[in-house]
Amino acid sequence: MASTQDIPQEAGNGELSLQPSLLATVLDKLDRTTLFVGDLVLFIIQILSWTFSRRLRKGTFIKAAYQIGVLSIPVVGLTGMFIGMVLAVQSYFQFHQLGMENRMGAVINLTLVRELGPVLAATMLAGRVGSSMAAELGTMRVTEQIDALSSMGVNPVHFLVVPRVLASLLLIPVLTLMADFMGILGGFAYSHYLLHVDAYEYFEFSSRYVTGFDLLSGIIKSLFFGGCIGIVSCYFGFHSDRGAQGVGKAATAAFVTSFVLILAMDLIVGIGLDKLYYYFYPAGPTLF
Amino acid sequence: MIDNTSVSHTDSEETFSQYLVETHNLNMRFGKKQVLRDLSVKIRHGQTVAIIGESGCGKTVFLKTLVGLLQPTSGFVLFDEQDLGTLNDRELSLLRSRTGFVFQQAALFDSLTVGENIAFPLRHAAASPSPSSMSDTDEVELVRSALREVGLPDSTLNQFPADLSGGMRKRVGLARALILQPELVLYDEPTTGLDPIVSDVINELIMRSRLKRRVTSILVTHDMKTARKVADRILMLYPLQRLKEHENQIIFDGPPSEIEHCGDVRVQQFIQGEAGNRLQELGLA
Repeated sequence: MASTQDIPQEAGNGELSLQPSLLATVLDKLDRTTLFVGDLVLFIIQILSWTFSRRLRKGTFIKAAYQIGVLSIPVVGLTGMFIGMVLAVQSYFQFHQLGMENRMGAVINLTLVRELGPVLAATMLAGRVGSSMAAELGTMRVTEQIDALSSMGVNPVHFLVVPRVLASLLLIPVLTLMADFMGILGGFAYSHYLLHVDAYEYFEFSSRYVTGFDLLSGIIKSLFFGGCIGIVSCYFGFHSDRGAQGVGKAATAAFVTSFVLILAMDLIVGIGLDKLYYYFYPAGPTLF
Repeated sequence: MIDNTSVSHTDSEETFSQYLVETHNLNMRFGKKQVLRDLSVKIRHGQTVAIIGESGCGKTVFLKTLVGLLQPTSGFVLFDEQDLGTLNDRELSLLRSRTGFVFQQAALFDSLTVGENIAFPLRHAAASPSPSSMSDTDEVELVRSALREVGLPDSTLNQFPADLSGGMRKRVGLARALILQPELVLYDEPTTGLDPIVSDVINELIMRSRLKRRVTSILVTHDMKTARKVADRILMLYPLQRLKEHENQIIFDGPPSEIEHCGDVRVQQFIQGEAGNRLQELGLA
Protein backbone atom coordinates (compact mmCIF):
# COMPACT_ATOMS: atom_id res chain seq x y z
CA MET A 1 0.00 0.00 0.00
CA ALA A 2 1.25 3.42 -0.86
CA SER A 3 1.81 5.62 2.11
CA THR A 4 1.35 9.30 2.77
CA GLN A 5 4.70 9.18 4.52
CA ASP A 6 6.45 9.15 1.15
CA ILE A 7 8.68 12.18 0.85
CA PRO A 8 9.11 13.93 -2.51
CA GLN A 9 12.47 12.90 -3.97
CA GLU A 10 14.84 15.40 -5.50
CA ALA A 11 15.21 14.72 -9.20
CA GLY A 12 18.57 14.76 -10.98
CA ASN A 13 18.15 18.32 -12.27
CA GLY A 14 17.64 19.63 -8.76
CA GLU A 15 13.85 19.99 -9.04
CA LEU A 16 11.53 18.22 -6.67
CA SER A 17 9.86 15.24 -8.29
CA LEU A 18 6.41 15.19 -6.75
CA GLN A 19 4.74 12.74 -9.09
CA PRO A 20 5.23 9.36 -7.33
CA SER A 21 4.51 10.78 -3.90
CA LEU A 22 1.46 12.69 -5.13
CA LEU A 23 0.07 9.57 -6.75
CA ALA A 24 0.72 7.57 -3.61
CA THR A 25 -0.97 10.22 -1.50
CA VAL A 26 -3.98 10.41 -3.79
CA LEU A 27 -4.31 6.62 -3.83
CA ASP A 28 -3.96 6.48 -0.08
CA LYS A 29 -6.61 9.16 0.41
CA LEU A 30 -8.89 7.42 -2.07
CA ASP A 31 -8.42 4.14 -0.26
CA ARG A 32 -9.20 5.68 3.11
CA THR A 33 -12.22 7.56 1.77
CA THR A 34 -13.61 4.43 0.15
CA LEU A 35 -13.17 2.52 3.41
CA PHE A 36 -14.80 5.34 5.39
CA VAL A 37 -17.79 5.59 3.04
CA GLY A 38 -18.24 1.81 2.93
CA ASP A 39 -18.01 1.58 6.71
CA LEU A 40 -20.47 4.44 7.15
CA VAL A 41 -22.96 2.88 4.72
CA LEU A 42 -22.77 -0.43 6.60
CA PHE A 43 -23.28 1.44 9.86
CA ILE A 44 -26.37 3.20 8.44
CA ILE A 45 -27.77 -0.13 7.23
CA GLN A 46 -27.28 -1.57 10.72
CA ILE A 47 -29.04 1.43 12.29
CA LEU A 48 -31.98 1.15 9.86
CA SER A 49 -32.23 -2.58 10.35
CA TRP A 50 -32.30 -2.29 14.18
CA THR A 51 -34.69 0.68 14.06
CA PHE A 52 -37.34 -1.22 12.19
CA SER A 53 -36.73 -4.77 13.40
CA ARG A 54 -37.00 -4.34 17.15
CA ARG A 55 -38.61 -1.93 19.59
CA LEU A 56 -36.36 0.40 21.51
CA ARG A 57 -35.34 -0.75 24.96
CA LYS A 58 -37.25 0.79 27.84
CA GLY A 59 -36.04 4.23 28.83
CA THR A 60 -33.26 4.51 26.26
CA PHE A 61 -35.09 6.96 23.98
CA ILE A 62 -36.35 9.18 26.81
CA LYS A 63 -32.83 9.48 28.23
CA ALA A 64 -31.35 10.34 24.82
CA ALA A 65 -34.20 12.77 24.07
CA TYR A 66 -33.60 14.57 27.35
CA GLN A 67 -29.86 14.85 26.74
CA ILE A 68 -30.19 15.87 23.11
CA GLY A 69 -33.40 17.88 23.07
CA VAL A 70 -34.32 19.31 26.46
CA LEU A 71 -30.80 20.27 27.53
CA SER A 72 -30.14 21.97 24.17
CA ILE A 73 -33.16 24.31 24.39
CA PRO A 74 -31.46 27.13 26.39
CA VAL A 75 -28.36 27.35 24.18
CA VAL A 76 -30.34 27.10 20.92
CA GLY A 77 -32.86 29.70 22.15
CA LEU A 78 -30.14 32.10 23.28
CA THR A 79 -28.09 31.88 20.09
CA GLY A 80 -31.28 32.16 18.02
CA MET A 81 -32.17 35.39 19.79
CA PHE A 82 -28.73 36.87 19.21
CA ILE A 83 -28.81 35.93 15.52
CA GLY A 84 -32.17 37.67 15.16
CA MET A 85 -30.73 40.79 16.77
CA VAL A 86 -27.57 40.67 14.63
CA LEU A 87 -29.73 40.44 11.50
CA ALA A 88 -31.66 43.51 12.65
CA VAL A 89 -28.44 45.44 13.24
CA GLN A 90 -26.95 44.48 9.87
CA SER A 91 -30.07 45.05 7.74
CA TYR A 92 -31.24 48.29 9.37
CA PHE A 93 -28.63 50.53 7.78
CA GLN A 94 -29.33 49.28 4.23
CA PHE A 95 -33.10 49.50 4.63
CA HIS A 96 -32.91 52.87 6.35
CA GLN A 97 -30.97 54.28 3.38
CA LEU A 98 -33.90 53.29 1.16
CA GLY A 99 -36.47 54.39 3.73
CA MET A 100 -37.87 50.88 3.88
CA GLU A 101 -36.98 49.88 7.43
CA ASN A 102 -40.59 48.87 8.05
CA ARG A 103 -39.97 45.93 5.69
CA MET A 104 -37.04 44.59 7.70
CA GLY A 105 -39.23 42.01 9.41
CA ALA A 106 -39.82 40.20 6.14
CA VAL A 107 -36.09 39.80 5.44
CA ILE A 108 -35.13 38.92 9.00
CA ASN A 109 -37.90 36.40 9.49
CA LEU A 110 -37.54 34.86 6.03
CA THR A 111 -33.80 34.41 6.56
CA LEU A 112 -34.41 32.90 9.97
CA VAL A 113 -37.08 30.35 9.10
CA ARG A 114 -35.58 29.25 5.79
CA GLU A 115 -31.88 29.30 6.55
CA LEU A 116 -30.41 30.49 9.80
CA GLY A 117 -32.86 28.83 12.21
CA PRO A 118 -32.26 25.26 10.97
CA VAL A 119 -28.53 25.74 10.33
CA LEU A 120 -28.00 27.40 13.69
CA ALA A 121 -29.95 24.74 15.59
CA ALA A 122 -28.03 22.01 13.74
CA THR A 123 -24.67 23.66 14.38
CA MET A 124 -25.40 24.02 18.06
CA LEU A 125 -26.61 20.43 18.20
CA ALA A 126 -23.47 19.19 16.42
CA GLY A 127 -21.27 21.17 18.81
CA ARG A 128 -23.09 20.49 22.05
CA VAL A 129 -24.47 17.02 21.48
CA GLY A 130 -22.63 15.52 18.51
CA SER A 131 -19.15 15.80 19.94
CA SER A 132 -20.44 14.76 23.36
CA MET A 133 -22.07 11.63 21.88
CA ALA A 134 -18.88 10.79 20.00
CA ALA A 135 -16.77 11.27 23.15
CA GLU A 136 -19.18 9.23 25.27
CA LEU A 137 -19.36 6.32 22.83
CA GLY A 138 -15.60 6.58 22.21
CA THR A 139 -14.92 6.29 25.93
CA MET A 140 -17.30 3.35 26.11
CA ARG A 141 -15.41 1.69 23.26
CA VAL A 142 -12.00 2.34 24.83
CA THR A 143 -13.06 1.11 28.29
CA GLU A 144 -14.68 -2.01 26.76
CA GLN A 145 -18.19 -1.00 27.85
CA ILE A 146 -19.41 -1.62 24.30
CA ASP A 147 -17.84 -5.09 24.39
CA ALA A 148 -19.48 -5.62 27.78
CA LEU A 149 -22.90 -4.88 26.23
CA SER A 150 -22.24 -7.35 23.41
CA SER A 151 -21.03 -9.97 25.88
CA MET A 152 -24.38 -9.73 27.67
CA GLY A 153 -26.29 -10.35 24.48
CA VAL A 154 -27.28 -6.70 24.05
CA ASN A 155 -26.66 -5.29 20.58
CA PRO A 156 -24.76 -2.00 21.08
CA VAL A 157 -26.12 -0.43 17.89
CA HIS A 158 -29.69 -1.10 19.02
CA PHE A 159 -29.02 -0.05 22.61
CA LEU A 160 -26.72 2.94 22.17
CA VAL A 161 -26.95 4.24 18.62
CA VAL A 162 -30.59 3.89 17.56
CA PRO A 163 -32.05 5.95 20.48
CA ARG A 164 -29.48 8.71 19.93
CA VAL A 165 -30.05 8.90 16.17
CA LEU A 166 -33.84 8.87 16.61
CA ALA A 167 -33.67 11.55 19.30
CA SER A 168 -31.47 13.75 17.08
CA LEU A 169 -33.79 13.22 14.12
CA LEU A 170 -37.06 13.79 15.94
CA LEU A 171 -36.05 16.61 18.25
CA ILE A 172 -34.15 18.84 15.87
CA PRO A 173 -37.39 20.21 14.34
CA VAL A 174 -38.41 21.33 17.83
CA LEU A 175 -35.04 22.98 18.36
CA THR A 176 -35.30 24.62 14.94
CA LEU A 177 -38.71 26.05 15.84
CA MET A 178 -37.18 27.29 19.09
CA ALA A 179 -34.32 28.98 17.21
CA ASP A 180 -36.83 30.48 14.73
CA PHE A 181 -39.09 31.77 17.49
CA MET A 182 -36.31 33.27 19.58
CA GLY A 183 -34.66 34.76 16.47
CA ILE A 184 -37.93 36.38 15.39
CA LEU A 185 -38.41 37.67 18.92
CA GLY A 186 -34.84 39.01 19.13
CA GLY A 187 -35.00 40.62 15.70
CA PHE A 188 -38.32 42.27 16.48
CA ALA A 189 -37.28 43.41 19.94
CA TYR A 190 -34.12 45.08 18.61
CA SER A 191 -35.87 46.61 15.60
CA HIS A 192 -38.85 47.92 17.55
CA TYR A 193 -37.39 48.98 20.88
CA LEU A 194 -33.95 50.18 19.81
CA LEU A 195 -34.37 51.10 16.15
CA HIS A 196 -37.99 52.27 16.56
CA VAL A 197 -39.39 50.29 13.61
CA ASP A 198 -43.18 50.20 13.68
CA ALA A 199 -44.38 46.92 15.16
CA TYR A 200 -47.51 46.61 13.05
CA GLU A 201 -45.69 47.12 9.75
CA TYR A 202 -42.82 44.90 10.85
CA PHE A 203 -45.14 41.93 11.26
CA GLU A 204 -47.51 42.94 8.45
CA PHE A 205 -44.69 42.68 5.88
CA SER A 206 -43.43 39.52 7.53
CA SER A 207 -46.76 37.78 7.24
CA ARG A 208 -47.04 38.88 3.63
CA TYR A 209 -43.71 37.42 2.54
CA VAL A 210 -43.01 34.55 4.92
CA THR A 211 -45.21 31.61 3.95
CA GLY A 212 -45.97 28.33 5.64
CA PHE A 213 -43.79 26.69 3.00
CA ASP A 214 -40.79 28.71 4.20
CA LEU A 215 -41.29 27.44 7.73
CA LEU A 216 -41.83 23.90 6.46
CA SER A 217 -38.72 24.00 4.28
CA GLY A 218 -36.66 24.92 7.35
CA ILE A 219 -38.15 21.98 9.25
CA ILE A 220 -37.50 19.59 6.35
CA LYS A 221 -33.88 20.72 6.18
CA SER A 222 -33.52 20.23 9.92
CA LEU A 223 -34.59 16.59 9.62
CA PHE A 224 -31.68 15.96 7.26
CA PHE A 225 -29.32 17.79 9.61
CA GLY A 226 -30.53 15.89 12.69
CA GLY A 227 -30.18 12.49 11.04
CA CYS A 228 -26.73 13.42 9.82
CA ILE A 229 -25.54 14.63 13.25
CA GLY A 230 -26.83 11.50 14.99
CA ILE A 231 -25.34 9.05 12.50
CA VAL A 232 -21.99 10.79 12.01
CA SER A 233 -21.40 11.41 15.73
CA CYS A 234 -22.29 7.86 16.71
CA TYR A 235 -20.16 6.49 13.86
CA PHE A 236 -17.03 8.34 15.00
CA GLY A 237 -17.65 7.47 18.65
CA PHE A 238 -18.30 3.84 17.84
CA HIS A 239 -15.11 3.58 15.79
CA SER A 240 -12.91 5.61 18.11
CA ASP A 241 -9.22 4.77 18.36
CA ARG A 242 -7.69 3.78 21.68
CA GLY A 243 -6.62 6.24 24.34
CA ALA A 244 -7.53 9.79 25.26
CA GLN A 245 -6.19 11.03 21.93
CA GLY A 246 -8.46 8.62 20.04
CA VAL A 247 -11.52 9.84 21.90
CA GLY A 248 -10.53 13.47 21.37
CA LYS A 249 -10.05 12.86 17.66
CA ALA A 250 -13.43 11.15 17.43
CA ALA A 251 -15.17 14.12 19.08
CA THR A 252 -13.45 16.61 16.78
CA ALA A 253 -14.09 14.52 13.67
CA ALA A 254 -17.76 14.18 14.65
CA PHE A 255 -18.22 17.95 14.85
CA VAL A 256 -16.17 18.87 11.78
CA THR A 257 -17.75 16.20 9.55
CA SER A 258 -21.25 16.99 10.80
CA PHE A 259 -20.71 20.70 10.19
CA VAL A 260 -19.39 20.21 6.66
CA LEU A 261 -22.25 17.82 5.85
CA ILE A 262 -24.80 20.25 7.32
CA LEU A 263 -23.62 22.99 4.99
CA ALA A 264 -23.43 20.65 1.99
CA MET A 265 -26.92 19.32 2.68
CA ASP A 266 -28.17 22.84 3.26
CA LEU A 267 -27.16 23.66 -0.29
CA ILE A 268 -28.49 20.48 -1.89
CA VAL A 269 -31.77 20.30 0.04
CA GLY A 270 -32.12 24.08 -0.33
CA ILE A 271 -31.92 23.81 -4.13
CA GLY A 272 -34.47 21.00 -4.12
CA LEU A 273 -36.84 22.91 -1.86
CA ASP A 274 -36.46 26.08 -3.95
CA LYS A 275 -37.57 24.16 -7.01
CA LEU A 276 -40.60 22.98 -5.05
CA TYR A 277 -41.21 26.53 -3.84
CA TYR A 278 -41.32 27.95 -7.34
CA TYR A 279 -43.59 25.12 -8.34
CA PHE A 280 -46.09 26.19 -5.68
CA TYR A 281 -45.41 29.95 -5.86
CA PRO A 282 -44.40 30.65 -9.49
CA ALA A 283 -44.28 34.42 -8.87
CA GLY A 284 -41.72 33.99 -6.11
CA PRO A 285 -41.23 36.39 -3.20
CA THR A 286 -41.24 40.08 -4.15
CA LEU A 287 -40.15 42.30 -1.35
CA PHE A 288 -40.22 45.62 -3.15
CA MET B 1 5.65 -29.42 21.76
CA ILE B 2 1.92 -30.03 21.53
CA ASP B 3 0.48 -31.50 18.41
CA ASN B 4 -2.22 -29.44 16.76
CA THR B 5 -4.65 -32.32 16.60
CA SER B 6 -4.33 -33.34 20.24
CA VAL B 7 -4.56 -29.97 21.85
CA SER B 8 -6.43 -31.14 24.92
CA HIS B 9 -4.55 -32.98 27.62
CA THR B 10 -7.79 -34.70 28.59
CA ASP B 11 -8.76 -38.24 27.78
CA SER B 12 -8.99 -38.87 24.05
CA GLU B 13 -12.00 -41.17 24.62
CA GLU B 14 -14.15 -38.24 25.63
CA THR B 15 -17.11 -37.71 23.39
CA PHE B 16 -17.74 -34.59 21.33
CA SER B 17 -20.58 -33.33 23.54
CA GLN B 18 -18.39 -33.20 26.64
CA TYR B 19 -16.84 -30.01 25.35
CA LEU B 20 -18.54 -26.70 26.00
CA VAL B 21 -16.16 -24.67 23.85
CA GLU B 22 -14.06 -25.76 20.91
CA THR B 23 -11.95 -23.82 18.49
CA HIS B 24 -10.80 -25.29 15.21
CA ASN B 25 -7.83 -23.89 13.30
CA LEU B 26 -8.55 -20.40 14.55
CA ASN B 27 -6.64 -17.66 12.77
CA MET B 28 -6.86 -13.98 13.57
CA ARG B 29 -5.20 -11.22 11.65
CA PHE B 30 -5.39 -7.43 12.15
CA GLY B 31 -4.25 -5.86 8.90
CA LYS B 32 -0.86 -7.36 8.18
CA LYS B 33 -0.31 -8.58 11.73
CA GLN B 34 -1.28 -12.14 12.49
CA VAL B 35 -2.10 -12.66 16.16
CA LEU B 36 -3.52 -16.19 16.31
CA ARG B 37 -2.48 -19.10 14.11
CA ASP B 38 -4.26 -22.42 13.75
CA LEU B 39 -5.44 -22.57 17.33
CA SER B 40 -7.44 -25.68 18.09
CA VAL B 41 -8.56 -26.02 21.68
CA LYS B 42 -11.29 -28.05 23.38
CA ILE B 43 -12.60 -27.10 26.79
CA ARG B 44 -14.74 -29.48 28.80
CA HIS B 45 -17.83 -28.58 30.84
CA GLY B 46 -16.84 -27.49 34.32
CA GLN B 47 -13.18 -27.04 33.49
CA THR B 48 -11.22 -23.98 34.61
CA VAL B 49 -8.60 -23.07 32.05
CA ALA B 50 -5.96 -20.40 32.55
CA ILE B 51 -4.48 -18.94 29.39
CA ILE B 52 -1.07 -17.50 30.07
CA GLY B 53 1.55 -15.88 27.92
CA GLU B 54 3.44 -12.67 27.50
CA SER B 55 1.78 -9.42 26.45
CA GLY B 56 0.76 -9.28 22.81
CA CYS B 57 0.59 -13.05 22.30
CA GLY B 58 -3.15 -12.92 21.58
CA LYS B 59 -4.69 -14.13 24.85
CA THR B 60 -7.42 -11.50 25.04
CA VAL B 61 -8.10 -11.75 21.31
CA PHE B 62 -8.54 -15.51 21.74
CA LEU B 63 -10.90 -14.96 24.70
CA LYS B 64 -13.02 -12.50 22.74
CA THR B 65 -13.37 -14.81 19.75
CA LEU B 66 -14.84 -17.48 22.03
CA VAL B 67 -18.06 -15.46 22.45
CA GLY B 68 -18.02 -13.80 19.04
CA LEU B 69 -16.86 -10.37 20.23
CA LEU B 70 -14.21 -10.71 17.53
CA GLN B 71 -14.71 -12.65 14.32
CA PRO B 72 -11.82 -14.94 13.43
CA THR B 73 -10.15 -14.39 10.06
CA SER B 74 -10.50 -18.13 9.47
CA GLY B 75 -11.38 -21.21 11.47
CA PHE B 76 -14.42 -21.53 13.69
CA VAL B 77 -15.61 -21.61 17.27
CA LEU B 78 -18.15 -24.10 18.59
CA PHE B 79 -20.07 -23.19 21.72
CA ASP B 80 -22.10 -26.11 22.96
CA GLU B 81 -21.79 -27.58 19.47
CA GLN B 82 -23.11 -24.43 17.77
CA ASP B 83 -20.83 -22.76 15.25
CA LEU B 84 -20.73 -19.07 16.22
CA GLY B 85 -20.12 -18.06 12.61
CA THR B 86 -23.46 -19.51 11.47
CA LEU B 87 -25.60 -17.80 14.12
CA ASN B 88 -27.71 -14.72 13.41
CA ASP B 89 -27.72 -11.71 15.74
CA ARG B 90 -30.62 -13.00 17.82
CA GLU B 91 -29.10 -16.46 18.25
CA LEU B 92 -25.71 -15.00 19.10
CA SER B 93 -27.31 -12.69 21.68
CA LEU B 94 -29.10 -15.64 23.28
CA LEU B 95 -25.91 -17.63 23.33
CA ARG B 96 -23.96 -14.78 24.90
CA SER B 97 -26.58 -14.57 27.66
CA ARG B 98 -25.31 -18.00 28.71
CA THR B 99 -21.87 -16.55 29.31
CA GLY B 100 -20.41 -13.98 31.68
CA PHE B 101 -17.43 -11.81 30.87
CA VAL B 102 -15.27 -10.13 33.50
CA PHE B 103 -13.26 -7.44 31.72
CA GLN B 104 -9.75 -6.28 32.53
CA GLN B 105 -10.89 -2.85 33.72
CA ALA B 106 -14.28 -4.24 34.83
CA ALA B 107 -16.06 -2.28 32.02
CA LEU B 108 -18.82 -1.10 34.34
CA PHE B 109 -21.26 1.37 32.80
CA ASP B 110 -20.16 4.60 34.40
CA SER B 111 -23.52 6.33 33.97
CA LEU B 112 -25.21 3.63 36.07
CA THR B 113 -24.96 2.92 39.78
CA VAL B 114 -23.44 -0.31 41.07
CA GLY B 115 -26.93 -1.73 41.63
CA GLU B 116 -28.02 -0.82 38.11
CA ASN B 117 -24.84 -2.32 36.69
CA ILE B 118 -25.43 -5.64 38.42
CA ALA B 119 -29.12 -5.62 37.48
CA PHE B 120 -28.32 -4.76 33.86
CA PRO B 121 -28.20 -8.36 32.56
CA LEU B 122 -31.49 -9.09 34.38
CA ARG B 123 -33.19 -6.22 32.59
CA HIS B 124 -31.57 -6.25 29.20
CA ALA B 125 -29.82 -9.49 28.33
CA ALA B 126 -31.48 -11.51 25.57
CA ALA B 127 -32.12 -14.52 27.82
CA SER B 128 -32.92 -12.53 30.96
CA PRO B 129 -36.05 -13.32 32.97
CA SER B 130 -39.03 -11.52 31.43
CA PRO B 131 -40.02 -8.34 33.29
CA SER B 132 -43.35 -9.89 34.26
CA SER B 133 -41.70 -12.90 35.86
CA MET B 134 -39.59 -10.85 38.26
CA SER B 135 -40.87 -8.14 40.56
CA ASP B 136 -38.77 -5.13 41.50
CA THR B 137 -38.41 -6.56 45.02
CA ASP B 138 -37.11 -9.87 43.66
CA GLU B 139 -34.68 -8.02 41.43
CA VAL B 140 -33.35 -5.88 44.27
CA GLU B 141 -32.99 -8.95 46.47
CA LEU B 142 -31.11 -10.79 43.73
CA VAL B 143 -28.78 -7.83 43.22
CA ARG B 144 -28.14 -7.55 46.98
CA SER B 145 -27.41 -11.25 47.16
CA ALA B 146 -24.99 -11.01 44.19
CA LEU B 147 -23.28 -8.10 45.90
CA ARG B 148 -22.94 -9.99 49.18
CA GLU B 149 -21.52 -12.98 47.30
CA VAL B 150 -18.58 -10.87 46.22
CA GLY B 151 -18.19 -9.43 49.69
CA LEU B 152 -19.47 -5.92 49.07
CA PRO B 153 -21.83 -4.15 51.49
CA ASP B 154 -25.35 -3.05 50.52
CA SER B 155 -24.20 0.56 50.89
CA THR B 156 -22.29 0.29 47.60
CA LEU B 157 -25.54 -0.30 45.67
CA ASN B 158 -26.15 3.37 45.03
CA GLN B 159 -22.53 4.34 44.43
CA PHE B 160 -21.16 5.00 40.96
CA PRO B 161 -18.24 2.99 39.54
CA ALA B 162 -16.00 6.07 39.67
CA ASP B 163 -16.34 6.07 43.47
CA LEU B 164 -15.00 2.51 43.82
CA SER B 165 -11.46 1.17 44.13
CA GLY B 166 -10.03 -1.12 41.42
CA GLY B 167 -10.67 -4.24 43.50
CA MET B 168 -14.26 -3.24 44.24
CA ARG B 169 -14.89 -2.54 40.56
CA LYS B 170 -13.56 -5.99 39.68
CA ARG B 171 -15.87 -7.55 42.26
CA VAL B 172 -18.86 -5.64 40.92
CA GLY B 173 -17.87 -6.82 37.43
CA LEU B 174 -17.77 -10.37 38.75
CA ALA B 175 -21.20 -10.00 40.40
CA ARG B 176 -22.62 -8.67 37.10
CA ALA B 177 -21.07 -11.51 35.13
CA LEU B 178 -22.48 -14.15 37.48
CA ILE B 179 -25.99 -12.80 38.08
CA LEU B 180 -27.60 -14.77 35.25
CA GLN B 181 -25.82 -17.92 36.44
CA PRO B 182 -23.90 -18.42 33.20
CA GLU B 183 -22.51 -21.74 32.01
CA LEU B 184 -19.25 -20.15 30.92
CA VAL B 185 -17.40 -17.29 32.61
CA LEU B 186 -14.52 -15.56 30.84
CA TYR B 187 -12.08 -13.54 32.89
CA ASP B 188 -9.72 -11.11 31.19
CA GLU B 189 -6.80 -10.54 33.55
CA PRO B 190 -8.96 -10.55 36.67
CA THR B 191 -6.13 -9.74 39.09
CA THR B 192 -4.04 -7.33 37.02
CA GLY B 193 -3.38 -4.06 38.83
CA LEU B 194 -4.61 -5.32 42.20
CA ASP B 195 -2.59 -5.75 45.37
CA PRO B 196 -1.73 -9.35 46.39
CA ILE B 197 -4.45 -9.53 49.04
CA VAL B 198 -7.24 -8.29 46.79
CA SER B 199 -5.86 -10.53 44.01
CA ASP B 200 -6.27 -13.50 46.29
CA VAL B 201 -9.79 -12.39 47.20
CA ILE B 202 -10.63 -12.42 43.48
CA ASN B 203 -9.01 -15.86 43.13
CA GLU B 204 -11.12 -17.18 45.98
CA LEU B 205 -14.28 -15.69 44.48
CA ILE B 206 -13.54 -17.35 41.13
CA MET B 207 -13.03 -20.69 42.88
CA ARG B 208 -16.20 -20.29 44.93
CA SER B 209 -18.30 -19.46 41.90
CA ARG B 210 -16.97 -22.59 40.22
CA LEU B 211 -17.71 -24.79 43.23
CA LYS B 212 -21.15 -23.31 43.75
CA ARG B 213 -22.43 -23.52 40.20
CA ARG B 214 -19.96 -25.81 38.41
CA VAL B 215 -19.41 -23.21 35.73
CA THR B 216 -16.78 -23.54 33.05
CA SER B 217 -14.21 -20.79 33.44
CA ILE B 218 -11.56 -19.47 31.11
CA LEU B 219 -9.21 -16.86 32.44
CA VAL B 220 -6.50 -14.91 30.78
CA THR B 221 -3.78 -13.97 33.21
CA HIS B 222 -0.14 -13.05 33.63
CA ASP B 223 -0.32 -13.93 37.28
CA MET B 224 1.14 -17.40 37.83
CA LYS B 225 -0.19 -17.51 41.37
CA THR B 226 -3.73 -17.08 40.03
CA ALA B 227 -3.16 -19.66 37.31
CA ARG B 228 -1.77 -22.25 39.75
CA LYS B 229 -4.44 -21.67 42.38
CA VAL B 230 -7.57 -21.38 40.28
CA ALA B 231 -7.04 -23.40 37.13
CA ASP B 232 -7.12 -27.11 36.56
CA ARG B 233 -5.56 -26.66 33.14
CA ILE B 234 -3.07 -24.15 31.83
CA LEU B 235 -2.59 -23.17 28.20
CA MET B 236 0.40 -21.07 27.30
CA LEU B 237 0.38 -19.04 24.09
CA TYR B 238 3.52 -17.67 22.52
CA PRO B 239 3.77 -14.56 20.33
CA LEU B 240 3.78 -15.50 16.64
CA GLN B 241 6.64 -13.16 15.78
CA ARG B 242 8.89 -15.31 17.99
CA LEU B 243 7.78 -18.58 16.43
CA LYS B 244 8.85 -20.35 13.29
CA GLU B 245 6.20 -21.02 10.66
CA HIS B 246 5.63 -24.68 11.55
CA GLU B 247 5.59 -24.21 15.34
CA ASN B 248 2.39 -24.50 17.36
CA GLN B 249 1.34 -21.29 19.11
CA ILE B 250 0.37 -23.28 22.20
CA ILE B 251 3.64 -24.12 23.87
CA PHE B 252 2.16 -25.68 26.99
CA ASP B 253 -1.15 -27.41 27.62
CA GLY B 254 -1.52 -29.32 30.85
CA PRO B 255 -2.41 -29.24 34.54
CA PRO B 256 -0.72 -26.67 36.81
CA SER B 257 1.28 -29.39 38.55
CA GLU B 258 3.09 -30.21 35.28
CA ILE B 259 4.09 -26.72 34.26
CA GLU B 260 6.92 -26.59 36.81
CA HIS B 261 8.47 -29.67 35.18
CA CYS B 262 7.99 -28.54 31.61
CA GLY B 263 11.29 -28.75 29.74
CA ASP B 264 10.53 -25.86 27.38
CA VAL B 265 12.86 -23.00 28.24
CA ARG B 266 10.28 -20.45 27.04
CA VAL B 267 7.72 -21.77 29.53
CA GLN B 268 10.25 -21.76 32.36
CA GLN B 269 11.34 -18.25 31.46
CA PHE B 270 7.74 -17.06 31.71
CA ILE B 271 6.78 -18.81 34.93
CA GLN B 272 10.04 -17.78 36.62
CA GLY B 273 9.57 -14.22 35.33
CA GLU B 274 13.06 -13.98 33.83
CA ALA B 275 14.01 -11.46 31.16
CA GLY B 276 16.51 -13.88 29.55
CA ASN B 277 17.83 -12.52 26.29
CA ARG B 278 15.16 -9.82 26.04
CA LEU B 279 17.48 -7.16 27.40
CA GLN B 280 19.90 -7.87 24.55
CA GLU B 281 17.03 -7.77 22.04
CA LEU B 282 16.01 -4.38 23.38
CA GLY B 283 19.58 -3.14 23.23
CA LEU B 284 19.71 -2.70 27.01
CA ALA B 285 22.29 -5.33 27.87
